[in-house]
Amino acid sequence: MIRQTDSPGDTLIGAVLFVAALLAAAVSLSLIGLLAAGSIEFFREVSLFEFFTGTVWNPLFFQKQFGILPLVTGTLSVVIIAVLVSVGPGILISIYLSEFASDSLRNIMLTVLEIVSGIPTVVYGFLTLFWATPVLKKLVPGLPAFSAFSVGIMTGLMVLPVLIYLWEAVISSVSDRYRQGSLMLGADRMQTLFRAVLPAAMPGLLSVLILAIIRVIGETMIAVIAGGQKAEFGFDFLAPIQTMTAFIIQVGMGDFPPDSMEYQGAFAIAGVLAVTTMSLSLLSRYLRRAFSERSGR
Amino acid sequence: MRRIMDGSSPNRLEKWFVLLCQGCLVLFLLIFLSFLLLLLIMGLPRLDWEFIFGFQSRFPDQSGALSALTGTCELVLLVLLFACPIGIAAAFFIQEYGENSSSMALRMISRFFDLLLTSMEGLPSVVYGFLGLALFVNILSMGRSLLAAALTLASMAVPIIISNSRNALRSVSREKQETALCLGATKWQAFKAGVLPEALPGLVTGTCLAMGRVAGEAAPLLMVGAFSYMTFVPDRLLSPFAALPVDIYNWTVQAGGGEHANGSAAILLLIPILVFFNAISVIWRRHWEKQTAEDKAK
Repeated sequence: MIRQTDSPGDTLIGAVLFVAALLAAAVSLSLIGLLAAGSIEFFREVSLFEFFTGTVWNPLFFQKQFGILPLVTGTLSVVIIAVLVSVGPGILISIYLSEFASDSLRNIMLTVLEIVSGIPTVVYGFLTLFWATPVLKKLVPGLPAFSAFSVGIMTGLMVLPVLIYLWEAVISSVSDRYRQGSLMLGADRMQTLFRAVLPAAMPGLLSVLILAIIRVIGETMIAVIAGGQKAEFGFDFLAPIQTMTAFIIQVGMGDFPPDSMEYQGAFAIAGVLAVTTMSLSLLSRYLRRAFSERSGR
Repeated sequence: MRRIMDGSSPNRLEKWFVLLCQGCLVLFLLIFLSFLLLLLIMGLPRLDWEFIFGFQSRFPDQSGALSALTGTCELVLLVLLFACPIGIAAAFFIQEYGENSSSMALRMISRFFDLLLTSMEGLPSVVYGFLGLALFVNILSMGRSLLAAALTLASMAVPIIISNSRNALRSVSREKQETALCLGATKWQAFKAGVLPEALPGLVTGTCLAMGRVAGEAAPLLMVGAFSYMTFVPDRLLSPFAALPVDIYNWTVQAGGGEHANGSAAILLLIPILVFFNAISVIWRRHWEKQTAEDKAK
């Protein structure tokens, strides 16, 4: 760390850069402030207790009910299925690319993964209707056109490339000292992998998994297109769902005036989403730091 | 065996394990290949000049994606204009000035910016869209306009650009900068000569990746109020707008084979745009890595 007194020109440039950073922070802060203000407005009408324990979400009809739990179970169903679908293949493929594949295969696959990670979610929404649902209907007879199952599976496929790409980076960056040390102590390669490399990588792997879960929670278009927009409390994977993000879209496309309860309900849901994803981001960041300290980089 | 090497031949467990991994990899590739195949089969017959340069129509087989295509391009340019300078400058500040500043207050501020922007990066795009609707469309009364959409996407892109740019700055070796400082260069001179040239590919890559992600977003644009049926090209900042991801959404949810074919043709139009951003970044980075490897070998 080199510190020195700044020349006047430096101070000016520093000031310009500072203003840019301040502007970025100010926009973020005003968005957060707006979210907080809108949510507070909502909770003047609906009690916190009713909101967080209610099992009926019925904001669009005359007899309005604002219980968030059906939307929470909708989002959670997608998270559970997506994680179940993507974690197993994801970890196997990233171990393979990092530890076993040839350099040329690894480089090609990393490029493919980078490009595939850029596919927008609306495309996955399209593919859910015309690829996943027809295929899954053959495997699960009686699967409705809109279900948590197809949304979850497609969301899992959506995060899979990101997961593999980032997991591969974590496993590759485990210091070779772990591998050599373990082999020198007489362990074979499988023991080295499972008892030395993967445990060392664990905080990094978890940090990436949390990033993927943030993406799944925030994923909107698949749930809007193929979820059925029907908020039911419970974990029936073969039934239609509405996720928290999908409800916000419903309000956004419904042209509700800013002082309506639907609009303010969307504020509250957006607030819950923001608090959840922000705390997960910070947790993921903490784990990543723990990993990079441990892996000695 | 790339990484774990001890020269011994694999035992039975390892053989099965590697086979399982390879199976997963093949399955993964097959699934994504079948996605591509489905899109090509559904969309390719519809993807002609008439579709690219035509406007929306009541009849799905005469519809085109011109307003959406220009809308998406205009949005990307506007977002670049708004988000890129602020994002990169803010990253410079946090990484180069704030973190090792001699003033305690500046370090604290920069730590706060860091926390704030890291957590903003995880915010779902639909939440950005809703806040854009509340702030730009309703409170600042820009209406359902191109400008409101661009500002919404820009506020989403800034945290991504900052985090990517900081990663680029972090991975640069600091020897040249330190030498320059020792020789009496000012902080900015040392940064410009010792850090910037090496960080530049990373900065470009990071910005391209952010653009690629933002250009494909449908949810924020649906929130801000993209138009689904437009028969002109959005030409002013406050004019109504359409965008490819939104058109894809609309064609997907409509019932009818013609609309679905249009949807997948529009996907085939959107993906090359996104791959373009990705390809620039991938190719430039690979090129750069090769060059620095050659430099080191000299």
